[in-house]
Amino acid sequence: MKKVDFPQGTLELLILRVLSSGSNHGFGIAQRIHVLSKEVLKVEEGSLYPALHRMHERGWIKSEWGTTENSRRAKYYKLTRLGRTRLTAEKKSWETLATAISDVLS
Amino acid sequence: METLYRIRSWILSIFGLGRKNSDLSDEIESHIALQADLNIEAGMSPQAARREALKRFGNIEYFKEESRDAWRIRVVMDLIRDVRYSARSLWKSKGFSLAVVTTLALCIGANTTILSALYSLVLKPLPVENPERLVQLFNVRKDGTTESSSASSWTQYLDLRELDDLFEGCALRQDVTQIMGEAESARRVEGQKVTVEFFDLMGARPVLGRFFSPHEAKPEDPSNLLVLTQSVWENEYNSDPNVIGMRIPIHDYKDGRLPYTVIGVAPKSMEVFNFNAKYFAPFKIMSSEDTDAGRRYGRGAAVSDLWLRLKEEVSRDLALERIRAIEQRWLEEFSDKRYAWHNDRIAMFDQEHPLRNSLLLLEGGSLLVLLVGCFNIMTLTVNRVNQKRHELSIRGALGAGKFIVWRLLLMECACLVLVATALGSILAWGGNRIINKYLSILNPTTMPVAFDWELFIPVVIAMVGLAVLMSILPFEILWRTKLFQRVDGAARVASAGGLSRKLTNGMVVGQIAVAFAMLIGSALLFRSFQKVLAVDPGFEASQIIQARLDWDTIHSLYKKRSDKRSLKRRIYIAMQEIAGVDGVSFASNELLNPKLGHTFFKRGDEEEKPLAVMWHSVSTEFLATMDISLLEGRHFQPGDSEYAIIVDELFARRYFGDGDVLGAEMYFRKGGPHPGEPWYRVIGVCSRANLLGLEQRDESPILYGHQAVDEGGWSYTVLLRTSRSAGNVIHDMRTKLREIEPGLPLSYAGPLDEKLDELLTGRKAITYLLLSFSGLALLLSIIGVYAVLSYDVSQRRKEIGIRRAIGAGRSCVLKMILRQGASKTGIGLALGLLASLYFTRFLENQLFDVTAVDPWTYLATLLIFLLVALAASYIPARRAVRVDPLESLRL
Repeated sequence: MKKVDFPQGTLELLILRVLSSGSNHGFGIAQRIHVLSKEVLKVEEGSLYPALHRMHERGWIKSEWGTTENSRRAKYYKLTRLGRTRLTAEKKSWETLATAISDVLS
Repeated sequence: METLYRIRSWILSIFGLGRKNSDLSDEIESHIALQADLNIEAGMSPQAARREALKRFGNIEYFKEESRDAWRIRVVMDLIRDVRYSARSLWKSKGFSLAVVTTLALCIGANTTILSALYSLVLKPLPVENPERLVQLFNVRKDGTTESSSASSWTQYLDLRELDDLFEGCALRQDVTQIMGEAESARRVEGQKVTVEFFDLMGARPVLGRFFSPHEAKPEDPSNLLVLTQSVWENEYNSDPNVIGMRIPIHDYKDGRLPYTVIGVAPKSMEVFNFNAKYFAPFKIMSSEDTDAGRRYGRGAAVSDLWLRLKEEVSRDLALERIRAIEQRWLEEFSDKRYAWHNDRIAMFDQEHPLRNSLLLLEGGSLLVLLVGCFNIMTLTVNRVNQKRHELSIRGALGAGKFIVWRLLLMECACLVLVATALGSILAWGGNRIINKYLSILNPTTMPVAFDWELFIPVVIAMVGLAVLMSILPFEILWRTKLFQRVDGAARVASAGGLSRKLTNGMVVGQIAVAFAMLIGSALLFRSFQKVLAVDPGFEASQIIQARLDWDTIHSLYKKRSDKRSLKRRIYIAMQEIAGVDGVSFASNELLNPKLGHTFFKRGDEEEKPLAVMWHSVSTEFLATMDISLLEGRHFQPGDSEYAIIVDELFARRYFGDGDVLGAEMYFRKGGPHPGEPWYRVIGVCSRANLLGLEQRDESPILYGHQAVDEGGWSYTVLLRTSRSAGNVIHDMRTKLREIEPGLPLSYAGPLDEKLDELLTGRKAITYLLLSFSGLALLLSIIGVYAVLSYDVSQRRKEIGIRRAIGAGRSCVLKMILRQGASKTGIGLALGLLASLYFTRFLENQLFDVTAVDPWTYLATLLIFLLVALAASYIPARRAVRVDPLESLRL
């Protein structure tokens, strides 16, 4: 199946979405996006980190070192309250945008 | 270099940057490991699994950098990088860095020292409540000269206290010296007497205990109370709160030794009036003194400070007018001619601080150093920017905007300023100690100049701002010439642009002009100082020991006049018995105390203008003891009355000219003596002895009145002539005096030459400080000449090489560079000469036996300057000579 590049800025929305269902580490987030998008969206894994650090500086997410199931150390990210409100807002504006674009296209 | 890295990691760890960095690495590493685990599960070999994981992740360093960019702390990292870069590049050009740091540090040091002295001594308001409404009353001679005591008297205080519609209050303060402690541990200490309103008027609150209450200041109040100063309480009583109620014996001249009770501690701010005073005692005005006779005499006994607090809506002029009216009324009421000299006096509020002019002069000097320093920094930076032109133009070509280049230069500037401020503070601290050392001699009652942060910080900020401006300005100018936008290699080969060259030449000429004018000024002062030192004192200064007996103590010990006389006679005999003493005599006043002045009136001219003189009442053998020679007439003889006087040659010359002074008659008040009293009569003329100090050689003529040892009771300066060492003789004097009267200490004792030196302290301090300032200016301007020439030579290597190749000899090149140095110096010196011809006139009142246009001083300074400038040009000229002609041909 053909892989699709996704628009700028949506990466953060996706990360927020993934983290809304529980804390996860960087590798896990990349996997989840891959799975949730039915393997269409594929994040270039490295680019996840600048986004995560940006979001961390803005206070949307917080981080903590933890252990994975196969007992490796990894940094887990978790939504903050600010992150949750961001998610709702971003989701809403995305939906508006998506409807508008599909309306135009149809 | 290793230490530099250690410092860097230390700074980074402060901001948690090190941890953050390793955290990021760990995070990415764990991501790759997790991916690799997954790949192994899928059946790959461990190596292949990891390789695949790395591939999927992408460029690790790129994403790391991108992540770091998200951090806010990034700004700090950039800053550290810039600082490191600047420090490295400055370290590489040590000459430049050293020159700028030294210049700036010296300017900061000199200016903060002098400014803080000026501020704390002259400009700073008194540390009291609402200082703008507090005024001190001075009684100044109408001709502007100050009298022996420009201070006020208690009768003035009583009169002015009535003006309660003008003043919120009025208080009197007087310095006293008393003997404190029991017989064995007794010592002379300074204290102050204050009227009961004093502390209230100043708005002071006690640190401990309380101040005096009104009934305790009444003369009939039997309690003797003390308020200690905070310094004494802290240093001598270890801040012991139990000091309240403690009893301290103090010798009072009226009542003898009495225990005084401590009732409180005054705050530090109250020490500004007399820094040496240890305590405050109530100023009691005896009701017996407050009579007509007392009030009549009272204006004369003016030894106190009178402080008044103006009511809010009252202007100074109005208050002064009313006070003068009261003074006039007093004069009319007691129009007795005996006190006619009060006619000359006028009440004033403001009097200049005695050190004001000297400090302003010094501040002028340090500002000029700053000016030269600014020129210097500018010259150096222009050269520096020129040198970096190549680097800067490459940066510009790579896309660095003006701001980035500007930031780099600013960072270099910040590094230099930081080091210079640290050094400058150390210099200022040292300068402060020097100032305080001089101050304690010049004006012992003044509080030492504190190292005032309140002042230091703004001064440093101003200096730093100036330095930044001086280094940015040349850059800005050069930027406009579009110098950096070219990468055509011109920067490497061509010499500096015309503009920057003009700029540096102008700076160097300016520097030289200012430095030369300063050097002329201080050389004139130095010559004056030498001339003063060369003045013959007119007496054997090194062989005479002067000692003061304490008047107050004698009066408290001996009530009867005959007892006082016999005490004096016993002291006279005892002093003669000391081994190695060749002569003993008494004088009324302390010698070498220039504050004393008197007036006399000639007979036949007794209503007319007063003759300003210095009056010394001396015992019969005074002139012989002091080795002052008689020029005309005769010496005092034991039988002479107190109306026989000997005048010095200056008196004869000034007031009698060619006329015959012998036999002339005069009196110390207008209108001559009372009926039945004789005139004073001149019996001899002696050579001039500079008993007011060497600088006062031409000031006040001296009159010597006669007072035999057995006569009168007020000559308490003992003069001993001896060839033995002063320390031993003074020790013997104390021993002898203790045998005669154990309760009577010597209040001051020392050789006269020591005192002569002490009187010159102020002149010495100013001369040497200004001399060192102008030395600094000279040094800085020479650095300027050197920097410009060596930069020039480095830029003209190719040209010089070609000249050499086509036949210019070594001496020809040498001359060419030297001529350049000489022409800059020449123009600077010419400008400086014009400036000094104009400005030295402001020094005129500080000069002694030297005119402001003294040709020798000018010539010598000019020569020194020329030689130093030539020496400074010689080094770059030598370097030019060594240029290899082949080098330029190879290029």
